[in-house]
Amino acid sequence: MKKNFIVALLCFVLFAGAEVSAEDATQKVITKVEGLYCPFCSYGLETQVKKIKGFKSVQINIKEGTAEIEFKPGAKVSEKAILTAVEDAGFDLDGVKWLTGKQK
Amino acid sequence: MANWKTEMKNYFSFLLVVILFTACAHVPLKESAPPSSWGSQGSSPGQFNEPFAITVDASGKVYVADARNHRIQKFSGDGKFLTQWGGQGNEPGQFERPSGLAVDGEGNIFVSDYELDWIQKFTPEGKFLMQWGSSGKNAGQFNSPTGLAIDSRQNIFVTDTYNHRIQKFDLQGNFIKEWGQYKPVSVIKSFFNFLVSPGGENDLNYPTRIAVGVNDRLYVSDAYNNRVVAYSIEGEFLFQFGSIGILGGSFRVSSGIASDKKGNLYVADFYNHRVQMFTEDGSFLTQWGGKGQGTGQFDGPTDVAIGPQGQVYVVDWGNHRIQRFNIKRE
Repeated sequence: MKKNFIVALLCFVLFAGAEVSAEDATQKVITKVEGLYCPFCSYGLETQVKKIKGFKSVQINIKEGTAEIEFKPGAKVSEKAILTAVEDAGFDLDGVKWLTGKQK
Repeated sequence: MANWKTEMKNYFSFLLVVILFTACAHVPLKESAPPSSWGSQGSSPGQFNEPFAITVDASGKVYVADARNHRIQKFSGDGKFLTQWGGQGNEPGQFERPSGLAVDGEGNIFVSDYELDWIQKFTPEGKFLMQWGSSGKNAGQFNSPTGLAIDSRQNIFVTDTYNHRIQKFDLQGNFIKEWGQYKPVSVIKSFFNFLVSPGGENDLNYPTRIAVGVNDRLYVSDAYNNRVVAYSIEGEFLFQFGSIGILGGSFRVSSGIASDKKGNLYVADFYNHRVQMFTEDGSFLTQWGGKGQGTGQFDGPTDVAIGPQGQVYVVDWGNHRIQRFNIKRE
């Protein structure tokens, strides 16, 4: 009985862990940023976004006024952290859309 | 009511005439040779990944800050690759985002780093000599430095873009003074600046580039105020020109700026994809460019430099190339 319980517990932990990893491996968010016009400012946004814990990469599209940000697996990223980065770069955040792995 | 309408109609007619006159009143240019260009997107020598800044030394050698390739490339005046240095990192001689360039009287090259918030000094061959600066708001610190310029007394001026100020140093990096504060100029006042002064003499809104003109006058591209502000080398406001718009003499994000030996100014106009030429007092002379990939067209010019024979080099950021123009005014 005790042995079965330990096996079940291990399975649960492994299963739960696998689910989190799968979700975290694909964390990607696209942000719409107001006033994103030129590299003098888009480079500033990149600088601030890189400071978010768990940052992996960013693709900025000046013409669309968007930044697609990818985070490392396991990173706990909040929308507040993204908002802070955008505001520190001197912009207003128009919206956040989680493409994958939305955080709470 | 009818009189009021007539007055408004006359006013707007007058305004239209002024605007059309401003747009058309430019001095024609004569190109002494066709424009040439070099570079394409990539990381090989001679290629660029978002070239961002440019300077030319006294012998005509051209230095380009290749921002996303984290390096400086050196070329002959006609674009032949000579050497390169850098690489990604924060060790001496490395770059995260080289963003501004200037050359001193001995031919040494100064490079600002937008992400690392410091200035590095190199020999003309790329040997690291020294650096100064760190991230912050205090004197001598930076928050994304971009433009660099050196005056005849060998002082170096830095547009500290995200701190919305200009800082002045000697060539050993010793802080001398600073000026400027963040404040956007009213768009309406900017647009109607031929009627009412927009003010904001000490205000800056993301200053990007800086140039030293004749008589050591400083010109700062106040990018998001869509204007150029002239100062003495002591930081005293002299005058300003430009406004938001698409007509000659106005800007949509003023960026690179350079002065030729006669004092004429060349200002890159990022979102209008053109270069505009002004007198040293800020009177509009002419413009060229337009959005595109063809010769003489631009996709977001970010910097301008003048060669020893008056060649105008333009960083065509979005097209990942450098364009050279040989221009003579008629």
